[in-house]
Amino acid sequence: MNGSAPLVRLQQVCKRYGDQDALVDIDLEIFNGEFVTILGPSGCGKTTLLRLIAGFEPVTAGHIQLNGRNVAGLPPEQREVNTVFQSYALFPHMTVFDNVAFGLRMRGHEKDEIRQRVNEALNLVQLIGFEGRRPHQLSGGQQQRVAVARAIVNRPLVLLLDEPLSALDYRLRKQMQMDLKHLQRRLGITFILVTHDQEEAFSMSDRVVVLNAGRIEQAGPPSEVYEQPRNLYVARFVGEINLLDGQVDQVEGERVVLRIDQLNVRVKSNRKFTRGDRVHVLLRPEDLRVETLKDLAENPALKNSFADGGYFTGTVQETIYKGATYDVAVVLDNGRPIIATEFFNAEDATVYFRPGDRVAVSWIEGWEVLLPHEG
Amino acid sequence: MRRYLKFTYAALVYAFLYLPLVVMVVYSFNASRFSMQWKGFTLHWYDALIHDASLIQAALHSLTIAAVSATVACFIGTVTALAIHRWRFVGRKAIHAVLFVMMMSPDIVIGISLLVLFIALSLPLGFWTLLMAHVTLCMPFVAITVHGRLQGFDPHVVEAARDLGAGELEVWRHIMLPMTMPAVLAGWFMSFTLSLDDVIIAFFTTGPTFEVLPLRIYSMVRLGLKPEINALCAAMILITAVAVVTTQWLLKEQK
Repeated sequence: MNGSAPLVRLQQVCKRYGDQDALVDIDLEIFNGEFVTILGPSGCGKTTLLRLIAGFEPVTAGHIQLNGRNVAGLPPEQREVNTVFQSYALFPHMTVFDNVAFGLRMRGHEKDEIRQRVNEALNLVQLIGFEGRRPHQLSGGQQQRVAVARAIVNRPLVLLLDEPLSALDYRLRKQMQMDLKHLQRRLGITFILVTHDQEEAFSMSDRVVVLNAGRIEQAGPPSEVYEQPRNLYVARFVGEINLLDGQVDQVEGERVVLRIDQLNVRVKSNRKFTRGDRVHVLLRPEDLRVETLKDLAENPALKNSFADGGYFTGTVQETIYKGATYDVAVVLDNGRPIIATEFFNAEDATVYFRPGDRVAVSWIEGWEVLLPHEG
Repeated sequence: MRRYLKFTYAALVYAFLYLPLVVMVVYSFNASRFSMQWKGFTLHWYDALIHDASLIQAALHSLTIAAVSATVACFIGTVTALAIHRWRFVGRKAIHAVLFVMMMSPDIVIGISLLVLFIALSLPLGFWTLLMAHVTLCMPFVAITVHGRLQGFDPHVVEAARDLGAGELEVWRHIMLPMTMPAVLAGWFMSFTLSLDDVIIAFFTTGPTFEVLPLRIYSMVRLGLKPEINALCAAMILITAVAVVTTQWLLKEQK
């Protein structure tokens, strides 16, 4: 980040198709060298946002600035951005070399310079030796890399990537995520990536923008979005959550005492609540602690360390093996289903819980997120 | 056993389709003038063929009409296909539907309707009327072939070109034209064969000043089958086969 003016600035951007709002009042600033991911479900307007920046479609209202310049009415060929399309959109009748050289030729560069820069770009994406191939002679991953090379060879101010990895299989996708991230660090070009995959968004980007139904729900570093979701939508979208409903009983600064069913629970929140407010308590599966009632009864030390504010009781429904971890599905006695993630013990690599086990569920104070009740 | 049955089945299908042609080609080398009896191998009929000036004249007419009408049809058809693919305008869907109607219409209907039109316009029947008729016949085939090719494109390819700095003109030159070219050429060969084959439309739309080969053959056959005709048809099969194979090859290259 330069700390100075943003490279891309969207102000009150709206896009309407007929009477349908695709994007509503989007305000977003993206700085030089940032890797920003726009995350959202399909149909949330994330691709539209990219197309507006690239210039394929005009905005209905609002302004887009690129490098301090308003780009309204500027066609795509005159914007210093390049796009990597979801379908790659390689030119099928051209060789890899000609595909990558296309942008430079259109801008009238010298032959020698074109050759040198195309080679550089192909080297960056490890496609040296494939210059003479046609796109249909390449694998999906190779085609994807040609698409990236074809865009970065022009040294754009911003590289727009529209779900570039969605057509690749899992392993290749993981590999390409890292490759793209390293490429971005190396080139220092600003990347704006669009995806519906939260894992992809978190592992690659400096900043995540969560989009829903044409509006920005939250923007911030991945850890902030994950740990302090601004609302239920964001919390649900960026990972599995467990939800408990309660009512504020007492407020002492940051500390809040909640009444959840028959239990008083102490939690922390930097939001302002007053007595009587209805709230959601959000808990990630990995933040929950589960012990069997039998173990707690037999082991007072465990019981003391488990939870001083009391705990919920429930019955194990099933366990789901995940490889390094396993999930325990519990139905609490108040009827609410809960998922908790457990690690295997070092000495015991078997699933500890059995369906039907009576268990206690608690969490470490301060790991929860408190949100005002929605709907 | 199964394999044997399959083979027999395929052989029967091919025999059904091609036996008449094979018989004709074989008899074009038969040394007998009148009987269907085999009297030995000869190239005499081919020799007679190339020395028959009026037949050669008709053949040249046919090839000229086929080449010119294919070229004109390709031009109009390609522009039509590009227009209905690229832009949304009033009547776009209607044009698309009409192309299919034209393709399906019986030749005799096209032939008679054109004849009526030419008479109404009091155009003398000959080269120009036949050319117009064959362009009408071939244009829908070109338009549909090229349009099909365009539909198969990734729509983002044009956007990608724009994104990389190509203006509207450069998009046409470097992207649209080269990508449609195989379909245009395939359309050309298809038109060429269509025009070369046509008897019915030509029967109505050309005049005595411009005789084409199929009509000439037709009038020759009315006086009885002559071995020259076998030879002539064998030669036409060869030309048609070359055109069809080229078309297939071009369409396959479209990957």
